This record gives sequence, C-alpha cells and structure tokens, in this order.
Amino acid sequence: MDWDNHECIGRTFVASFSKSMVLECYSDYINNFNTAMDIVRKTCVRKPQFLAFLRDRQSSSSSRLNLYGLMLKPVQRFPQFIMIVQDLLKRTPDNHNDKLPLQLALTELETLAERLNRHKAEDEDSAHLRALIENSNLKLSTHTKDGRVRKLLKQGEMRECEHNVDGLLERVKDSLIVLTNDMLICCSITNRRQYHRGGGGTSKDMFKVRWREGLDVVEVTDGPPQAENEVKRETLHSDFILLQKIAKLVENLQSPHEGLSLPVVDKCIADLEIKIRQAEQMASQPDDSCITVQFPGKLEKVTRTLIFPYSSQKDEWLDVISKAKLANEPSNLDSWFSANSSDSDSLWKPPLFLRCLSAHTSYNEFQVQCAYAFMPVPHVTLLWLSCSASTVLAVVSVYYITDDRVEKVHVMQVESSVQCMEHWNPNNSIHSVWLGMESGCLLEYSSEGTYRKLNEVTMPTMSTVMIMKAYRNNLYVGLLDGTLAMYTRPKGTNDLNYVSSIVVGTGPLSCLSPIDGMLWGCSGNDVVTIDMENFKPESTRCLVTDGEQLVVNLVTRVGSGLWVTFCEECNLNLYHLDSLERLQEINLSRVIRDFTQDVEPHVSSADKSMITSLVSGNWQLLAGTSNGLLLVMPLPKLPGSVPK
Amino acid sequence: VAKTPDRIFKVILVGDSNVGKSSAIQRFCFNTFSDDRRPTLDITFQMKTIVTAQGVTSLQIWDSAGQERFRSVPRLYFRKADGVMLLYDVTNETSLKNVRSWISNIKESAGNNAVIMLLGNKVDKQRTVTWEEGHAVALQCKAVFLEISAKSGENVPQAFEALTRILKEREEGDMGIPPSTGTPLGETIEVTSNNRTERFDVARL
Repeated sequence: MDWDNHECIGRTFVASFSKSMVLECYSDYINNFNTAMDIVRKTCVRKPQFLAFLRDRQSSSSSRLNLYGLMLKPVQRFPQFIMIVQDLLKRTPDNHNDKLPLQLALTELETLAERLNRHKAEDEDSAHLRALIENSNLKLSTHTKDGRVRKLLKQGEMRECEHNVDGLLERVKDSLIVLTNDMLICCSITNRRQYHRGGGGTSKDMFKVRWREGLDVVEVTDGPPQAENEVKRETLHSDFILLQKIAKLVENLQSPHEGLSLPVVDKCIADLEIKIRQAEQMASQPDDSCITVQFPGKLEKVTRTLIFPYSSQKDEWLDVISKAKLANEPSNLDSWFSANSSDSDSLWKPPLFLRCLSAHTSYNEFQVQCAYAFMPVPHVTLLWLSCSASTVLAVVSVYYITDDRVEKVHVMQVESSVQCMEHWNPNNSIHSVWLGMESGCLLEYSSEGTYRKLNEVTMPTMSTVMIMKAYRNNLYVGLLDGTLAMYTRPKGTNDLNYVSSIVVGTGPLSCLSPIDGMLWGCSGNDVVTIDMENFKPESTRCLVTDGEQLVVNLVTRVGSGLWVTFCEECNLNLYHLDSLERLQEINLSRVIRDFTQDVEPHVSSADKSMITSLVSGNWQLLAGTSNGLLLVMPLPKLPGSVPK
Repeated sequence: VAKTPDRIFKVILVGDSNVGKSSAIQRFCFNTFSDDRRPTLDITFQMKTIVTAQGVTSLQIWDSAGQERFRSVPRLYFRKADGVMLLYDVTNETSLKNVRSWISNIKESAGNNAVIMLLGNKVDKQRTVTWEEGHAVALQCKAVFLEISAKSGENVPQAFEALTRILKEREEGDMGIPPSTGTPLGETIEVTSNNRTERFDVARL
C-alpha cells in the first residue's frame, strides 16, 4: 500500500529487520543448518518412505527445488535483499521520499547479515574447539585463567621441526597448530586417515598434544632460527673433508691398531653425512614460509620451527599470533571498556594498543600541541611532536620509532606555536615535513637526517594556519579566516608555488578530509566541500539553524552519512548527506563519565570534555577527546548505506 | 527428444564480487549476456544437461550471489558439492589474490573431494592479470585452469563440459571402471575453441 501511494518500501525493510528476534532466530537456523541436513540425510537412508515423499514433493513443486534448496532459501534471503535494495537505490532519484529509508534499510540488512556471519563463525570456532578436545588428549576449560571465554582463533596443519641442543634438525613432524586467545597448542596427528575423512565420529586418539604454552611466554619470530646453523654447517663440512682424509690414511696403515679401523671411521662419516643432510634440509627451507617459536623449557629455551605450505599462510599466522599476544598484554586487556555492557554482540575487534611514548620536556608547563606520524620506509615511523606553553614559542621533537626501539633524534625550537603538521613529498624528491604556524606561515623541514629548514612561506592573508592536507601533487592549507590556499611543487624543484586561494567560509577552516576527489571541511556553521581537481567550492551545507550557538568543528563522510562534531561539544552527530536530516546524536559525556568512574576513578571528569579529533577508516569511527580517551564505533561496510 | 540424465552433479560458482559468476551461468544456460546485472531473486540454481560421448549428465549449478562478502554463512552452499567453479576477474588482481582464501574456505567445508576449477573471466577486456599468473595459482592449488569470457561466450561451454568430463571420469574411476576417453587424470585436457586449442591441466585432488 505504501508502495502504491507513496512509492515507499524502505521503512518496511527497516521495520522487519531491526528486531533482535530476527537475528536470534536466523542465527539459530543458520548455525543448526548442517546438523539439520545431516538428520535429513540419515532419515532418508533409514526410512525409504521419507525419501520417496521428498522426491515426490520435489517433482511436483513448481520450483523443482529439493529440500536442501528450500532450506537454503532463507539463508540466501539476506544477500538477495541487499542486492535488491542496492539496485533500487541506484534507480531512486536523490530527492525521492524513499531514498533515506532505503539507505537505512540497506544499513539494517547489512548489519544483520554481518552479524549472522559472525555468529556462524563464532559457532564454527567453538565447534572446532570442542571437536579438538573430543578427539585428543587435550584438556581445556571453557575459560582462560583470567576468566575470559576461551576462543579458537586459528588452527591449521603444518610441519613442525624440532632441533637438538646444537641447533641441528632432529625431526620433522606433521602437526596441527591451534591458537586460542590465550595459548598456542601443537598436536601431532596420530590418526591421519580418520582426520582426513572429515573427523566423523569421535576417536580419542586423533590428535595428541605435544606442547601447549601460554601466549605470554611464547616468542614468535619470522624466518628460520638464528644463523648459528650456518656456522654449524661449515664446521660439519670441514670435518667431513678431514674424516675422508683420515679414512684414506687409515686405509694405508700397515698393521692393525686397537680402535682405529676403517669401519670405525666409515661409521663416523656415515653419521656425519646424516647430520649434514639434516642441516642442508633445514637450510634449504625457504625463509619466507616458516616462523620460529620459542618458549621456556624445563632447562633451557625450546626452539621449534613451523613450516607452512605457502608464504602467504605464514604471514597470516605471524600476524594473528602477534595480534593475539598483543591483545593479552595488560594494557589491552583492560583498556577497552564497552559502553554497552549488556551488548553480547560485541564481537568486533577493537584496535590494539601498541605502546605509550612519553615526551620528556624540561618544562612542566609545556603541553603536547600537535603530533604527526608517518612511515618514510616500512617498519620505521617518524613521529614529529610539537609542545608549547604559549603562542610565541614551540619545541618540536622528532622521534624515530622501529619495532624494537624509540629514539628522540632531533629537537628544535620554532618562533610560534605549531597548529598542524603534514608530510608532503610530491615528486618523491625529498622527505620533508611542513609545519603550519600560528603566526600565519608554513615552514618546511627536511625529515632526512639533517632536519634543516628548507622553505618558509607566508600565507596570502597572513592568517593563522589551521589545517593542512597534502593530496597528490598539491598542498591544501586552511586558514583561520576561512580561506583555503592551494600550493604545488613543480617537478624537479624544491620550490613551493602558490596556485590560488578561495574563501570557503566565514569561520576558521578547522578540518580538511579528502574523500573521493572532494575535500570536506568545516567553517563556521557550515560543512563545505571543495572539488579538488578544479579547486572550486562544490557545496556548502549549513547544519546550524538560526539561534543555535554552534560552530562545526570536525567532519568525516562515511557512505551517505556525515559525522559531525561541534566546537566545545561532546556530541557525535550523524547527518544524512542528501537531506541533512539529523539521524542520530550521540552524547559521549555519559560514556566518558562511566568510563572514568569505573576504570580510572582518579582521573577527574569534572572538566567538560570535548571531541578533539575524528577519523573514520577500516570500518570504524574513532573519536579522540580532550581528556585523553579514544572512542571507537564500528561502522557498516557497504558503500551507499548510512552508518549508525 | 528429452534424455534422462545418468547422473546429476552439484556445481557451485564462487569468487569475489563482480567477477561475473551470475553472468557465466547466464551465458552457459541461456547463451545470453547483459551488462546490467539484476539480482536473481527466485531461482537459487539452474539445471543444464550436457550430452557427451559417455552419456547424458545434468549439472545443477548453484549461484551464491551476494554471499561473497561474508565468509561463514556461504559455507552452507559448499555442502556436498561435486565441483566448484572458482572465478576471478583478469582485470582485477585482487580477485586472483583472494583465490587462495577461497580455496581454503572450500576445502574446509566441501572436503577434499570436490573438483575445483579456476576460471579467469572477462578476457574480452583489457587484462591486468596474465594467463601465466592465473595458471601458476591453479597449479599451486591443484585446480583445473581456463580463461573465459561470459560476455563473448569464449570458453564458457568448454569450461562446463570439461568439469563434467572430469567429474564423470573421476566417478567411473572410483567405481573401478577405467576412464573411457583415455584422458588420465593428472594429465592435460585439450579444449578447442574458436579454431584455437588450449591445453589445461587436470589434477586429481
């Protein structure tokens, strides 16, 4: 009816699929699907009438679908609905009534399908873990030592190499490696035939645990064990040559000598040959498909090498083990606090905390004003940090961060506080960092060793630099007076050429994010977009109604939604891109208060907190607050849907 | 004259989004192609009968349309599949890169018995993935390899026919009947299309 009169169907989808009951019953259905099909199959074997009945039904039905096909239909429903809604959206004009409801419907459907999938994955993982315990001598409780639910993260077959004290290869065995959220387990496959038949039935002896170690004591490194091997091989080879010489000499002995005969030397040579072969085998293992695992043994460190069929698998394992280890560190166990503690669906993975870096300054009143990190080469992060106590002086420190160390490599002083920094390297000529100054100029410093000043440019309007964004060959600079200036660097030079500037708003340009060829910025009451190719303002969206004392501070676009924050406010606002309808307003102050009271009562929450940064990416929205908290919200993955 | 099939094989098509799974089915079953892909709502599988020298075989071809974004739920589709056609797009390197994770997903749920065929689709377009790159992945994954175009129809029937032949030969082999065509598994099959002969490897899984 809604369709006939108003051409509206979006709301129907939203109403039908937003109830928690839908997720529960579909989830049960999907998770039970395989068991149900197995029962059908067994019944067909046992009861011929049942089979005949099914055949009869199938041949008389119009779709000719068998029972499996019919049972699969509800499963297929969600991706089909998603495709239909996407198709419908493509054909719906922007100003149509049903546009927003359809976008919301898409979000609803996608979220539901994603959750169904995660529930199924969880269910499979716990079934795998149960099967493993049933089929082996492994004893595992359902919870970890510190009371978390024990979960299976990954399991897979590979070859495990054991080494003797000399670092020589002792034996290679096919193994099943199992990673849970708290330990790494290695099992030998004792009943291979049974295992490959798909594990039907239970047999206690399919796997046997060889070792299991907590992730806190396991150390994992990329590649084969250290190069001691190389030295060993050389000594083995020179011994081999010597032994052969000895054999020749012994052969020439004229009279028999007790304990010195050719068979004795031959035996030595034969033994050495075996050792050499093992060492060669070990050395011929391609470095890019194995990892070394070390853990404390009874007497000394135990070293094992795990060899994977493909190097890509090795990378996956290395990644998942390192992340699991990281997640077990105290800083990660307690740091994430779920705002909605009753949310059993919090299966999403929060970002992991790596480490804390303290910026030592000799003046207590100095505060970190802005920080900028980038990776000039893989595995190296350069962190530029600017601290200041007033607007007339700032100290900029450069930190060199690699996987295992953090080093302050440079300190310098600049004559105005630094508002923003950006790494811009248009022609791959030099690595340099630009500082946007309160005094209305840009300073360019080399980030390669010398850290010397390369350029200084004054802004066309002399206004304070608020924000910089480097994109392709251009550097966009947003100023306090609402001007946006564009600079470029001609090929082969180290100059900075001023291209032009445009006034995009009345207030300070406080945010610039390039998304799909558009720069999104905030100025005064407006969210503005600038076409980057032609450098022309594309649109201005006013989000503040008359009488409201609000200034737009930060914006990020996700799909058809705009996440916006206002100056001095602690709300996250979601607007619909086309209609500018405010879909959601999330006040974070309660969450922040709950968190500070629950977790860190010593932190004073009396100060009004504000959102100071906003980033979206990786299907997450991250908001930083003035009191040092980071809030993360999962976002839907489909383009075109409205986040929520 | 309608012939009754001796055997029905269940075949599923998988691969990343937009690699042309539905188009390949459409081309094979109806010999048509449309650039404007509409979601298929009603039918979850297509039947196609193939007549070869060895007899009449029916393929029950399942499309997992729209499920590819997810990992766990689509596994329900792999249940008891005899053959899996794994598609990638020769104009999209990522779709080839994802083939390995598809393979492990298939093996985990369909078991090691399903015959896997790797198909590089869209050869009518400007390719960015070479034949050699696709072939190398197929060898590693022990899959039969062929390049097709659902748009022009190039090699599409050949792919389905070859899969049918392998499934049939394997089944006869399992029943103790020697393969009738004399193409032993683990060897090379020749497919002639457009006056051109392509050779591709058949590996027993």
